[in-house]
Amino acid sequence: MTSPWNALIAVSLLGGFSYAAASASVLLRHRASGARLAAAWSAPTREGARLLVAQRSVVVGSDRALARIGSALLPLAAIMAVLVVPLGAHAISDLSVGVVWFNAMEVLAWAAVWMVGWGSNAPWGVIGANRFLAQGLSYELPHMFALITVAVGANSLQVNQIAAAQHGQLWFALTMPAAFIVYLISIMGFSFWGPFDQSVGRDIVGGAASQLSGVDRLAFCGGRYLLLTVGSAMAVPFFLGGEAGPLLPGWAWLLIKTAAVLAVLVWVGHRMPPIRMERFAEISWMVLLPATIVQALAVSIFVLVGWM
Amino acid sequence: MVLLGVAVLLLLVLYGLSSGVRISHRVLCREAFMSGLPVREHAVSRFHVRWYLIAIVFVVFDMEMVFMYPWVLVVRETGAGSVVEMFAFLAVLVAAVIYAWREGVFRWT
Amino acid sequence: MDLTAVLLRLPVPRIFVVSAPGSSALRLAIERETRARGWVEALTPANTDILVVCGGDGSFLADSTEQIWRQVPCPRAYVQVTTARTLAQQLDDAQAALRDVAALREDAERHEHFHDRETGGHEMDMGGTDHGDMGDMDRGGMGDMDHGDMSMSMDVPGGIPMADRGSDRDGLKLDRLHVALGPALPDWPTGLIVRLVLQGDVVQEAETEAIGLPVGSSFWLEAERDALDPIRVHAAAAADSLQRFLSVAGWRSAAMTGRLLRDELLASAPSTAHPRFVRWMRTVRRSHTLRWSISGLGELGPDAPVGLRGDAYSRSMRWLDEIAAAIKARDADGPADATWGSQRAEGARAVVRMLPSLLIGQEFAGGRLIVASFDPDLETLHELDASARMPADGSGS
Repeated sequence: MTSPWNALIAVSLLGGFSYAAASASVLLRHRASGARLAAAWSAPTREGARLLVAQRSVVVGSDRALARIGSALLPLAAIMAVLVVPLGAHAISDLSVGVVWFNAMEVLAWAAVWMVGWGSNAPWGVIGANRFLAQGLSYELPHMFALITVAVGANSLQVNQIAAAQHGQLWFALTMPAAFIVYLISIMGFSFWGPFDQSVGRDIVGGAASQLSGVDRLAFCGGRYLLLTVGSAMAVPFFLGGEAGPLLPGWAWLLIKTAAVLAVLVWVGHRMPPIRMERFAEISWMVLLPATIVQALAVSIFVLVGWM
Repeated sequence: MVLLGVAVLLLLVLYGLSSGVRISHRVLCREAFMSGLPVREHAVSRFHVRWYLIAIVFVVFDMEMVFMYPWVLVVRETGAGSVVEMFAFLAVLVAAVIYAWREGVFRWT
Repeated sequence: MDLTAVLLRLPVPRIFVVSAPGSSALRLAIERETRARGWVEALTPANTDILVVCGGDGSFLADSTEQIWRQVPCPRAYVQVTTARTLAQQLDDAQAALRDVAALREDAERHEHFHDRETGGHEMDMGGTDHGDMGDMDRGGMGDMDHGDMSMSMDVPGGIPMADRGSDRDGLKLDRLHVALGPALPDWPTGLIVRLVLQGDVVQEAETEAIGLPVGSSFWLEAERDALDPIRVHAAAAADSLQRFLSVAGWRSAAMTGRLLRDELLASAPSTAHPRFVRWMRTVRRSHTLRWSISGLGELGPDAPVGLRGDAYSRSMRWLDEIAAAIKARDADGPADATWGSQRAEGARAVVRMLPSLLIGQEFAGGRLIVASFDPDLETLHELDASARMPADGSGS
């Protein structure tokens, strides 16, 4: 069963990658604004120190408990999702329904963001919270169909077996491209990152996070990077052949592939403007959802005729 | 569960550390930010959820997903029959989505 | 204890800028300075370390400033900027103040809570518990707050009432929430206040107000008059509006580059033809996502002034054209548009008048984008009073 060391290693890796993602994000911002690039590497530390020292605050009449649980729930969900991320040969706990577990943890973000936004008792927070629900309703179904397509292809809901099913043949990213793209979009969806950050958008002065200060803000913003990282890490066994790769040992390939997915997402976050929710909802339901259903059908047929 | 323990422990360390180094233990109670003007009323109000129809269509699909996870595991054994059944069912749901789209459910404001 | 002092040395401060009408030059200086330092602007007081007020002797803004200052959690510092010369030094001082543990602790102890004012903290409230660095701000106006209405009842927290219901366009009875945009809001036109009645996130009612106006001078008009190359100033003004628009749209990196370009244009730096800016213009212009996400918002017909016609997307692309004109044709400077200033003023006046009708029925995000796509320069309004009075609904001179 689980050894605490495995858990610690996994969580430290998660933290390390998240830190790198936050740094890279600051780096891109500094590059855009012509500020000093070298400062980016220490920026998350400095921000962390700032928030640790800062006074906590609440809005009068707000639901403190709700907001605080919400902001702590975000990192908690991300860390719990690490449970099924395969590390080397095995995940911390290779659940037979790993895919479902991952899905469940990621949906906790809905609750967390809504709780923080509503609990803030500020119009910005309330608008942001409801925007996130609308976003969730839009990305979640294509996301689930993408996961199911992968599971059909591997005939398993166990993450390691999904990775193993791609050994010696084409990676799922190539055999099911629509599912892969939708999965990448939905990572940005549930970590409200880049084009999908409308729930904490600048037009609503930070939305759900607008009234957070101090350690609550640290947990919330940190949790967001953790979610982005754990989503990227799961893309590797799902779509990128797990630890398959030449020369280097398997764990090295896992880390390299995770870093690559994460880098792409961070870059996209800076390269693309946000998408307004009412426009995304339509595209998501009318393009992404049918695309993933057709993808699932295609993969089921491949499975039946024995190509997978 | 060890991982849950680790996660909770980490969060406790974070909050504990913060309470150790924080500049003040008073929690600042203040008005909500309103661009520098006083707040007129509490923000927690009955929010007009204009996408509630999407939520309903979503719930329909979500129920279906619950069946789909076990279905995944038996596709290989049961063969073509289960695939046809599942996707015929999905086709019905997609028809509902298309109808909803024509009714303008996915556009709001 | 010690660890706090160590940690306090690390942070990159977040600043919140309150700019009074007539202080555009200072605002630009502050933005340039923070950008160069790699500092970040806070979106709300809750996440602010340094509150920077530029200009603003008007009592109205003093009230707002005080309101915001009370919402800033400790550690916090306050800076009142009156001239760009001392700005860097003042920011350095503020950063130093954010490291003084003893003073910060004392400030935190005295930090006035909302409850204190509601329940029995009144003599303290009126007694001037100003923090040393607050200067002599007028505290009179905020004692009796707006929410102490007839409807005030004692059992609601803070004496603030809940939202009342009203019927909406779909015939539903829904809560009506009053939200004010401006005067102190990030990425918001200086001096503009828009008061909204929201149901959910749909704008039900809107009214605009221009505060502290007219002021005697307008930064952009004066810059144009003084400049050897007015086209560059036009481009800089366009870049300023565009960076703000992109920022409201949430495209942070593009907004930052726009800001950098604006500063370079204003400084007449030769680097404005740098490939990065050419690349930036291409990226913004070719972004399908931006077009798809924004087009169709705030459509204005042919009865509006020329500079305002079209939708939010076409207005933002016109700014891009203005910038491109300055960057590409910087050797062969053609004749600058002589009516630029008066058009700007006309546009600002028209926007203040038309905004309510454009905002009503919009979703909140759409509303913010519409305002940002006009970016009315209210400081130019005095131009209309000074020069021969043009008809308010003039069709763009």
